[in-house]
Amino acid sequence: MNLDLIKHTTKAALIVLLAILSGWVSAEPKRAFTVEVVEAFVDIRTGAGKAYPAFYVAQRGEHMHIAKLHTAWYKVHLRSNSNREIIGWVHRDDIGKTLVAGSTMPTSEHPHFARSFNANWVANYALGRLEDADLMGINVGYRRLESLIFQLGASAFTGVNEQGWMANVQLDYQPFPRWQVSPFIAAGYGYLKREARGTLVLQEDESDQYLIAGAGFVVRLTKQYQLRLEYKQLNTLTSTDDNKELDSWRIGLSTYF
Amino acid sequence: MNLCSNNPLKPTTGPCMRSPMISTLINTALLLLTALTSALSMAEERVAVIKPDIERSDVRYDRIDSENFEVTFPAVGILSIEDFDTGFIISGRIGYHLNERLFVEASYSLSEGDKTSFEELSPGSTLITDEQRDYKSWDVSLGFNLFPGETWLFGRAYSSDLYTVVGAGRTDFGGSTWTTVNFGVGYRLYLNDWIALRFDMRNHIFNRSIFGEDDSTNNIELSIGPSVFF
Repeated sequence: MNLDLIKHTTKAALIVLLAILSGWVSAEPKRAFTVEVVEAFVDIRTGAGKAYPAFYVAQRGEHMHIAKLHTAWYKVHLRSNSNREIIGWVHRDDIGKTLVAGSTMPTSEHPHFARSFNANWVANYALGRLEDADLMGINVGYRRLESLIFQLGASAFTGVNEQGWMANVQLDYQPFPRWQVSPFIAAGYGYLKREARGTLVLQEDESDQYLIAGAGFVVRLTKQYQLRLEYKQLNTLTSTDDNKELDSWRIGLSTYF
Repeated sequence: MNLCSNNPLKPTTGPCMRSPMISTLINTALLLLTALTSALSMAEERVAVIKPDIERSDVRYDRIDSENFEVTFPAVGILSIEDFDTGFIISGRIGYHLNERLFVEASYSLSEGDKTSFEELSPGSTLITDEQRDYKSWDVSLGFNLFPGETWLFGRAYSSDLYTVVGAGRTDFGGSTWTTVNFGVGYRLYLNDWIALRFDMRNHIFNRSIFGEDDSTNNIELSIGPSVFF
């Protein structure tokens, strides 16, 4: 057993513990955002998920104080009609049916809630190949005008003789975003860094910039998840006269958040 | 030089004397001006009477805190590296919860391969150097909360998740790097909204050729650690 490792671990654990404690101290209740229920009722659940039971129903006119957000769920506090303190979780769709307390503004139009009510961000996790190397990548994208997605991505590859990582920016154009199986084309720019595996000597440049031309399909699996199939050609701008083309394909799961 | 001084000693003669017509004109102009300004001010008042029916409250709220990141550190436990003795493993993880079901998580683990079975059976033999026994691995995985729900403990209900993870990454072991696929199950017990206790069981599979031939190895990790949402 490595004693040093244990020592470092303990030290790091203590730092984390201190950070947590300091967070606890500073986590004083602030002025909570208050909303008013204007629909007939709103379900309040014990946890941040549909799997958790609804234990209270807030009725029209009741005020709820919003404490925080976890994924699509808001934690709320309120006082029931029998003056009981209720703390639970409300889905953002239900928060969308409330007004900012003391005004006529729908809560969803308040700037504090803009991010939550406009799911324009998309995350993608993909596995695939770059030439004959294994590839694993994640992408984060932002959707504009429904059919354009601006993406930032990072991926790592491991081949027989070499390994490395890539980072890229990419723009996807999806002409028919509402189709069940929606095609897209992509263009972008990236940076690739590679190193030799084991005792081998690298045959190519250590790093290259490359241009991306790609195409693929987004298949809508459920309301929330999409399957993304993508083929890309990376045109590496090598230091030699002729540029090298690398083929890459990947299959991944996407979700808006 | 003031031609129209009000000095009573000076008789108002010459160019200063106002003709009755001019003074009538001035008077009329003044009258009109007064009428106009009063009319204008009345109009202004009328505008002011119709107040827009919007309550401009100066209430400033604090930004709503979203807690979608999860950091798990230190996750400690045991790792059974195939052909080697079971050793201590420490991992750190950082994840982002995309929705109530799905999260993406990156992990980094450190461990050490102890003696192989062969080395234990034949004392004095060494197959790989001590440096090559260092085990470093990272991966990016997709987690899915299969059974979010509640767990009863000590007469209280705690939120909990039973989740699966699938991912890929790399492992540094035996003097080289190997593409690694990992999958497993885990259990997350929320102590409150933002602190949880996690139990993970993961299998890290990679092909390695440390001992000559290419071998697919299963390396099973069992770990436990606290996690914090922020």
